[in-house]
Amino acid sequence: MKLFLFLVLSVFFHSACSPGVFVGKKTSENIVPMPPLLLLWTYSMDGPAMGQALGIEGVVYQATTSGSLYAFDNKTGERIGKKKFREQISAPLALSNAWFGLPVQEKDFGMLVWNRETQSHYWDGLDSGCLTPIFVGDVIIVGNEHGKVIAFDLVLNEELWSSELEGTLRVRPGYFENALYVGSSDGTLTHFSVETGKSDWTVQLDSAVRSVPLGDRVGLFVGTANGKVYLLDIKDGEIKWESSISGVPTESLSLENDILVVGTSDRKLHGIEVDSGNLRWDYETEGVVKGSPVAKGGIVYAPSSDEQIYAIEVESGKLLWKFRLDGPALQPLALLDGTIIVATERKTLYAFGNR
Amino acid sequence: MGGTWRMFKNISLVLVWASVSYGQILGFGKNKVQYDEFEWKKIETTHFDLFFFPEEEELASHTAIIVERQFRDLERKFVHTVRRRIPLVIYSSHIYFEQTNIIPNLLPEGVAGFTEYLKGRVALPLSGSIPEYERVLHHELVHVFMFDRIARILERHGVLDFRPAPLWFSEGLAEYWSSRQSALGDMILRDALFSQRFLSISQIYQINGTFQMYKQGESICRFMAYEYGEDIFEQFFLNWWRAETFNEVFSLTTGETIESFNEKWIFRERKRYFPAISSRDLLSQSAKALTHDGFNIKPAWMLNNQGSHDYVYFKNRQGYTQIARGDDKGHEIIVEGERLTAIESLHPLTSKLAVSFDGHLIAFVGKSRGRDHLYIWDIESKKLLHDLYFDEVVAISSPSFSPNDNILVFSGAGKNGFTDLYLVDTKIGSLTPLMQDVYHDREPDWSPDGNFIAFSSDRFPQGRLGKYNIFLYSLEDKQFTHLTKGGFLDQQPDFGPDSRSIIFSSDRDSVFNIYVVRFNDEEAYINQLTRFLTGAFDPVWSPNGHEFLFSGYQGGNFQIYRSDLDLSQKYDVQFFTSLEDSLPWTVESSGGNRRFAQRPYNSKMELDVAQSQISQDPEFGTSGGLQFLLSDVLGNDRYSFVLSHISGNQSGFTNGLNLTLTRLHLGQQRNWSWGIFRLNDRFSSKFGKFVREERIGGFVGVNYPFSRHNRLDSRMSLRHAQIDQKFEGRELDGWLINNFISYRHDSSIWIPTGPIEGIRYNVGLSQTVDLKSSRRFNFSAYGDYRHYIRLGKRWNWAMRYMARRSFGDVPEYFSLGGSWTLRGYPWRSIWGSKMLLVNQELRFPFIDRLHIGLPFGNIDFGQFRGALLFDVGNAWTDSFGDWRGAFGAGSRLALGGAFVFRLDATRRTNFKSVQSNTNWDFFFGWDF
Repeated sequence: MKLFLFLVLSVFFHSACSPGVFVGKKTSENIVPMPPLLLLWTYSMDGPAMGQALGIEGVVYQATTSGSLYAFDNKTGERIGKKKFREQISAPLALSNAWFGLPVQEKDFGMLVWNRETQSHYWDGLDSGCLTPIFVGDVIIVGNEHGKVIAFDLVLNEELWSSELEGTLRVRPGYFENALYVGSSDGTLTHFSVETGKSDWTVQLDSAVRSVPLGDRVGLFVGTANGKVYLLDIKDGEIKWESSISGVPTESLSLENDILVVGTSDRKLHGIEVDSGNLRWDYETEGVVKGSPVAKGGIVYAPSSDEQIYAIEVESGKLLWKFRLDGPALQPLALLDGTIIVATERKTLYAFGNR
Repeated sequence: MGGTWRMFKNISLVLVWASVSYGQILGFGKNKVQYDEFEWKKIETTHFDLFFFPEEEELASHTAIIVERQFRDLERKFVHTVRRRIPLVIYSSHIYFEQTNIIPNLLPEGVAGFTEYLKGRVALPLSGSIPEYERVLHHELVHVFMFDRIARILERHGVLDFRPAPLWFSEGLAEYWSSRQSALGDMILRDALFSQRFLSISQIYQINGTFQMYKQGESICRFMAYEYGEDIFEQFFLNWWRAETFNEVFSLTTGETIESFNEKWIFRERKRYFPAISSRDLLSQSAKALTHDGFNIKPAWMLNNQGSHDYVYFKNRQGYTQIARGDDKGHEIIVEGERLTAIESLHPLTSKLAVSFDGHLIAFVGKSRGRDHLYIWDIESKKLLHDLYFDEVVAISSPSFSPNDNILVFSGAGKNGFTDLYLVDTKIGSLTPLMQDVYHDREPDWSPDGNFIAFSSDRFPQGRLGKYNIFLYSLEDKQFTHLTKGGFLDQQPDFGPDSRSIIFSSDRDSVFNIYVVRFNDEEAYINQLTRFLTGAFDPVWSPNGHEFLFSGYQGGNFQIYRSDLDLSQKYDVQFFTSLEDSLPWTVESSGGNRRFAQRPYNSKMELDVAQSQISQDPEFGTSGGLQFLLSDVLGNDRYSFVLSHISGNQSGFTNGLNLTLTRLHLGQQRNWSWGIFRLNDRFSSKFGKFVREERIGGFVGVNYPFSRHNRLDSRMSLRHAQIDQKFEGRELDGWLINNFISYRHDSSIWIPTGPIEGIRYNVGLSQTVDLKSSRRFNFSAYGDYRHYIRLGKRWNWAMRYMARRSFGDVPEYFSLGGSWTLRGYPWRSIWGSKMLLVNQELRFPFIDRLHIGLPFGNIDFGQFRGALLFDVGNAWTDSFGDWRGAFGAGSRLALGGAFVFRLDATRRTNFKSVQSNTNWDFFFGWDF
């Protein structure tokens, strides 16, 4: 009897906790799904999603607030792995090649790096309150919600530089062309060199920075809590234009065909012309647009708390397609290898695409 | 003082789970009476189910539009949407609102709305002002969003226990997001700072639920937004799951401790308010205080027999309002109010007093039996001359006599909720409306020459923002004139002797002060008469024209003051207003094409609560077990199902099951109940002391509350009883009919530990009959009379006289002993079919605050009260024996309002000797 129980429990334990396969094959990431999209697969997870899905090599990774990290085959939805972390994940994960960066809320550390290839705990450190990290080569750069920014070399296991801002951070820093852009709750936006941590400029905006600074050839886009979007000169932070939107902007902005797309708590998606800052269009959903929009191939995809996801034509703001989910998708959706992945509050992961 | 007072008193209730106290069913307690029956309807908007009755259709249409706009505003602020449909129940009058069954609690006039969380319902009344109604609605929606946001974020992160926000934060944020900074809020904060009553964040719990707490909470939230950005609150809720205490979430979110934030906040408030002292006067130094104790407001001059003038005013010194008369020698109570069924409330915050021009009559408003009455009282004889009430007017306020004293003008709200001015001829009782529109027309005053009625109204563009100006109504040409102008709270006009000058209170200089407006046919000039630091209201011009009375706020209280009236330009402030009119505003539904589909109300039952361990059935009381409560949205129909089991029962599982099903109908003044039960337990006082009895049966009950204080209860039950006790040589096993009838009165006034003043009594009869033999088992009569006499503000003498007697073949047995009855004796140690008990208790303040410092933190206890007690009584069946007595002392401590900890030390006596040792009784429960 004891042997039988041991065997049952062993099988159960193995099947429940087996990390499975966490590595896929290299695939092209340039496929753009065109509406109308088909529902490719769904999966019911053990907890609500923590952050958007991440993808690499044809594998979709989705973390949950219950501490699980799932791996799915992008095309089929087959679950190919699940890792249960005992640490409490406190902010969305980042993925770079083999490494996952997990902000966690633990007594002794706030950041955990886990290697998906070796499926091993690679490194932990820093204080709690870490936001989603950025990987630049072997360096992990982490903004702390209390205003500290740290660059840490994972191979050398040493801190390269750190800086403390006056305000707290409400969104993770943005990265563009070897520079880091850190927006703070006091409305300052500061440039840092990734290599040295040296700051070339700081600009004061109207209110707390609420969107991850988005770098592009035309400049740096950033949204603030008072419902403003700025285009800054990436060299010196000079404001080129500012545009008013209603409501708090989504955490990420999206740029496509010289149109900047911003979602807001005022139920709207806004299309702003990059050249002038003028509003080209806005599209009203039936709920708060909380998950960041993702634009590619002239189409922007965005979820809303009205339990729908929308596909909007970037040029015109025209609705091309929408789909009703089983609950609100408050996390950003992800566009991975031609597949749109979106998770709902009801713990369901959806994948849409073209066949 | 309508608008100001309304804001002052508007405290919303947030009810997570109020322990249900069906006073009118379970025992003593005041009654919530459904004087009015409504034909409820429903409008479905995108996010709300709006419940209303036909008379308030216009208000409902307006609400349907406004509430969706507010929902959207809060979506933006919370970056969150509430996905469930929100039940919203609106009432066109506070008088109707007080009859709601959504929550069992009695709703005081100060409650402007509430949000309860069993079904997530919001309920609120219109109390005259549409902008104020919208503000309260927005305030309640903040609670809805906050609760939903916190619940969702905790659920998302697998946190099972709900972590509510501290009251100051939830109310403060609701105030901050639903209102602008106001002169009234500034008055409360400024006065608290100057009178050393301003509390730090860690101390605010001491004033929980008070208006000052609301305003301090609002001030804190305003400063948080200033310091950390408007979106800090959204960040707060995002982090709610990350820590167990609010202070930890605060530190996580803002990066600083709440202590350091508190220091910055208090310093900023001092910086903001202290400079005002250099240019303003203290009330107590520049006017003569006529009252000094309690809460005194709304003075009016009154001609006395000597030809000089006394004054009358509302006085509240001991928890209820009276009308008092004052002169240089002293004060005399003219009308007792709020303890009598005839006058449940005098509306001292919203309605002024009127004295006739000849000084013989006083007119005031009182609420009685679900309606406001206009009472006209002869001052000298202290007799009621007229009791006027009207079918078409539900709420009445602020009467004013015409110069011939036969006609009164007053402000009244119809069944549709809109407040207009009415004239009433006191001789014949005829009623004439002066206008019928949506504007809040209030505080009328009749000019001495009889030509004008001045009133405060929001019938101008800025009225949409909750502002009021003074208007004139000409009785000759029936035209309105907009007398004062601007976005201010101009209120409480009172004519001077020349009928061309009006004194009024206004926040024109950001503090409520007294102004005078003088007008002719073309223009009006306004002068400021006072520049007080805190606030002055309700000015009334003396008949000789040389002085005025007013209510002044200072040190957290209102008193009556007298000041000389100097019409020379004391302060360099003068406003000129032209008398051309401006277009007023309209409600959203007026004139528009938008109409909402209306559906009849469907009394659909939904689960209120499912809980185990402690279950409370409205009929059978509290027991351990599993309970399901179901009710409709309006709370008028309820089911209660309780399931429990006697552990250790030897006769098997099914035999030990106890279950009851109770149905209540509360939608009418007459409350019906019926139910079925199967009980197998040890019962006290029936057929002996403790006997095991299996009861299977059903009952029908009816309760009829005549008023808030009086009701008749009756119930008839039919049950099969099987009792494990022999009677006349055989086991009791048969069908019994039991019925009882009782009359109860409760006009007691409470403090947290128990009643402090008033009377409660209960007399009743019951009988039990064997159905088969028609043999009466027993007939019982009982009486319980309690009288609480106030000896001082916080001292009282409490008396209880209780008698019970049961006759018949199988009489009921009554018990004495224990903290509830005869103290000093073991719990239920004395039994008999006859019982007498007398309790006497002197209750007094003992320790006001006890602060114990401990290594791991401090413990703060509130008010301990003391008691000296003396009890005497006995229970007997055949011979009386000796009286049993006890005397001693005790202390009581109210714990959070829900429990009272009582400790008594007593010695017994048989009146021949005294016990040598002391008995210690420890108990949780209110004083008798």
